[in-house]
Amino acid sequence: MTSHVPEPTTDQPAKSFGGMSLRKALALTLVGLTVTAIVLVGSVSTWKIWVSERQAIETDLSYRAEQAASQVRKFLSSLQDSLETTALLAGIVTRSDANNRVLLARLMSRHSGVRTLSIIDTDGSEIVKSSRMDIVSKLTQLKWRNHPLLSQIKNRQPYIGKLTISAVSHEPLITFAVPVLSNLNKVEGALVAEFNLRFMWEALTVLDLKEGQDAYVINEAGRVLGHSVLHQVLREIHLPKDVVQKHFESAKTGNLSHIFGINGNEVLSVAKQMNSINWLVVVNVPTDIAYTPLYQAIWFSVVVIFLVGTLAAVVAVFFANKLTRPLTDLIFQSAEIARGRFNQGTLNQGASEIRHLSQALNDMSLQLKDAFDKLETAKTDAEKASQAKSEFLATVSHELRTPLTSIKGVTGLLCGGALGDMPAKALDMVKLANKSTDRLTILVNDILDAEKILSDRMSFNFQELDINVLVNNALKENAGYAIHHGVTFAGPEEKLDIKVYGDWGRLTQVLSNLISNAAKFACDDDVIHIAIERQDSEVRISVTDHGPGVPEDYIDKLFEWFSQADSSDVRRNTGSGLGLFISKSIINRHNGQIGLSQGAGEHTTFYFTLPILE
Amino acid sequence: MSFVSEIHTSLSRSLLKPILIGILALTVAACGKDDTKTKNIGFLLGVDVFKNVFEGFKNGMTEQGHFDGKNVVYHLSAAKGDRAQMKSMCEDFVAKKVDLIVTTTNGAALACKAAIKGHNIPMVFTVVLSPVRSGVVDNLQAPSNNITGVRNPLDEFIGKRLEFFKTMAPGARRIWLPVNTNYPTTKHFLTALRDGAKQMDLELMEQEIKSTSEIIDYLGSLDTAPFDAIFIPPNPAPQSKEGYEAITNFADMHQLPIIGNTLRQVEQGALFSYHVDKKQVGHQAAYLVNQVLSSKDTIPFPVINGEPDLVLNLSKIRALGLKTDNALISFARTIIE
Repeated sequence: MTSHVPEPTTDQPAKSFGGMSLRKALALTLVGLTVTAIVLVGSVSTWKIWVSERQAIETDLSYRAEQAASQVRKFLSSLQDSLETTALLAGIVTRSDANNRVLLARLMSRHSGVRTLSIIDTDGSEIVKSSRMDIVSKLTQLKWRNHPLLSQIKNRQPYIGKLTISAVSHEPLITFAVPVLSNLNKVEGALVAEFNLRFMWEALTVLDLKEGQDAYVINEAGRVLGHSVLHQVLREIHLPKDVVQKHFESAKTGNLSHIFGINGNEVLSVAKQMNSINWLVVVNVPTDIAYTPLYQAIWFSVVVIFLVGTLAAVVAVFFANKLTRPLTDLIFQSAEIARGRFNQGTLNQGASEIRHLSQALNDMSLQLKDAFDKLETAKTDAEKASQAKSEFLATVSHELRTPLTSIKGVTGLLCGGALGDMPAKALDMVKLANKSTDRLTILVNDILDAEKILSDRMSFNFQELDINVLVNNALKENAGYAIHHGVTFAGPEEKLDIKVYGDWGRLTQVLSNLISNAAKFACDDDVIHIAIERQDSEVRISVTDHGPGVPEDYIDKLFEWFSQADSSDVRRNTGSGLGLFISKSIINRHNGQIGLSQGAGEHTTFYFTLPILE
Repeated sequence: MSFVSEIHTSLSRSLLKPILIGILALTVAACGKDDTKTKNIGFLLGVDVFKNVFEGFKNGMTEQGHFDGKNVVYHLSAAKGDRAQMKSMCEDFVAKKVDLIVTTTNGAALACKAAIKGHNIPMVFTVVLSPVRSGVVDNLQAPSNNITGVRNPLDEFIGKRLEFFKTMAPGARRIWLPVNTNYPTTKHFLTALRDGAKQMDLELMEQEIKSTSEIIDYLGSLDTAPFDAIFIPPNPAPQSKEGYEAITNFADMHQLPIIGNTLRQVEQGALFSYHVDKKQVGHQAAYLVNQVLSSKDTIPFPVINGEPDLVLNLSKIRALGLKTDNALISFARTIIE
């Protein structure tokens, strides 16, 4: 069975969702929802990890800062206690140089960091002195005169000096002083100790710090007095003011501060204030090390999201396939029907709606099949009838031509007097018969041509043609018409060198048709102009007469099958009504156009165009 | 391309690469944390008298968490004062690619400094007098060439010995000093000692002594002691067993006090010694070594000072009828009675 049902354009299922298939959209939605849920859960978890990790860092650093502060505090307290005890004994109990020397010796023996010890009076003169390294051969008068420690001591306050570096050993030294009080609680002088801070550093360097952590002690000016990493201790580091401020804030609030550390790297730090001294103990850790567990947790989350997302994608694709399979089958069923393969059967899987739709589709396809079968039968019958009509026309035309030729020959002979003179009335009748034969011959020829056109059997012999030669030849062939109808042909004024690709005989047929029509419908003594014009890539051949023209309401039917404007005019009604139809068909086969233009009662121009052969 | 492969490709492009990099980074970070690697330490004993430094060093290392045979291995070499030996032993350490070298004495420090040149091996010296002047380091605060150590500040405190002596023997005036001025380290303390004598109004009777026999010969030639005390400098001849024995015999014979240089000398009859304890030096060196080994980069560590201790022979003071000063007794770290 053949069918004229158009083929479907694609085998793919119909698309929607912005060009995306339902299956893909469904799968993406499932994946998207799953991944979004995972990302949300992951984000919340990560935030919780972040918060808890920061708390852990803060707790850890606080603990270690307190540990460091305790170490330093213990160290300084021990020194301060020793100084104060020694000062008390020197002021109240001993009150002799010999005994004071013993006190100083004991103190120096107890604290390895003490470099020198002096008891001075309130004017700053040394009363007794002891040194670990230098020879004490004589005492210096007014050595500490105008020194700030004196005013501090007079206010009964301990004094802590600035850090200095020993010129010989390059070790950091700092001066401590406590007041020496008499038994009447009067300030009699001061016990001054020069202390090597390296011993405090050692307390810091043995701290149990985690990897990357470091600890240091700073004074209120931001000077680093000690550091857990030995190579940092002698660099004479002064922290920037903003960092010092943050450290003091941290010491006040106990919170983490985020600063740039001594090495310029980002660190998290916690500071602890020393009691009685305006020093801070700071413990910090680089952020990259501090956050390593956090980064690891985030990476873990990312890996989990990826793996679960992949699993979700696979599951989503599986379910999307399962859900859309009946629809895909339905689409396939429709496509098969569209191809003319009816009766695809009914789907027996999927939702009931899908099965009902499939059943309806199958019923519809069966009805379509019946309709197509009937249509096919009707078409075959019509084609057979058309074939019979063509054969009939050809046969009739052919059968008519032979007797017409004989009649034409006989009437011609009679008109020419071949049988002698005939009565005038008889001669008129013979001439009428002769003319009628001509008309009948033309009609038969036109019918044959029209039939060939309708059945697409008209043959053409295309070749290169000179349009001037073509037109002039046509004028010559139709010269008889001009004489017969009392008109004059005016050929092209200018000879143009234009070539076209066409059939000589058929184009001559068109020209003859237009020229003869013009002659027939022109006024007496009319001049019929035949013109050739170049119009871009085409040539326009026109035939203009000054006859009555074509009625406006008939112009649309002019080039149709068996059409004539006015059949009442016997003189003019000598055509078959097929000429312009045949001419239009011929010109169309030459890729040209044929048409009519006329002025209001002045002239009528029939023209046709042909592509110029370049 | 199928839908599954589209998703796979898309996810792979966006996530797989950073995840793989992250996993790789974590793996490398985990692998790179190699704290358990055994450290090899070369220890060069310049002269045997400093073997206590090694003792103190090992104890200090243990306190710092470095256990002999577990996470640290010591390669001990004793050069017995031979410069050529020191050189070859240092080169041997370098050939063994030890992680760090510890030295005692100026000579050993200089030999190993030359050997590690061009190699990434840190060095920690001990018992070095005037490390800058002797050319071991360029400065004390931040020495370069991957070297640090424990300085012996003898030049700073050697005069203190004369102050202590003067306290015990206020009437003493002349002190015999058997010294080898050509010995490399002598120049680092002799000037300070001379200044101290001047400050304490003492006459330093310097005598050029290059060998033990010269000590024996000189002291044997004396019927009476032309000096009030004997000062033992850190030179080989007076510190050798025979040389010191000759000195103590002479001192006992003539009831002369000896100002010692080591704990052993005080134990063998010297009046006192104010010196840097060798075990304590070793302990300080261990502290430095731990700092250096803990450091990931080659950074300068400051040279630290050895701390002098007073060792007092109270019985000798009393035997010689010298003054027992309570302040000195209080200051003394060790008292022999």
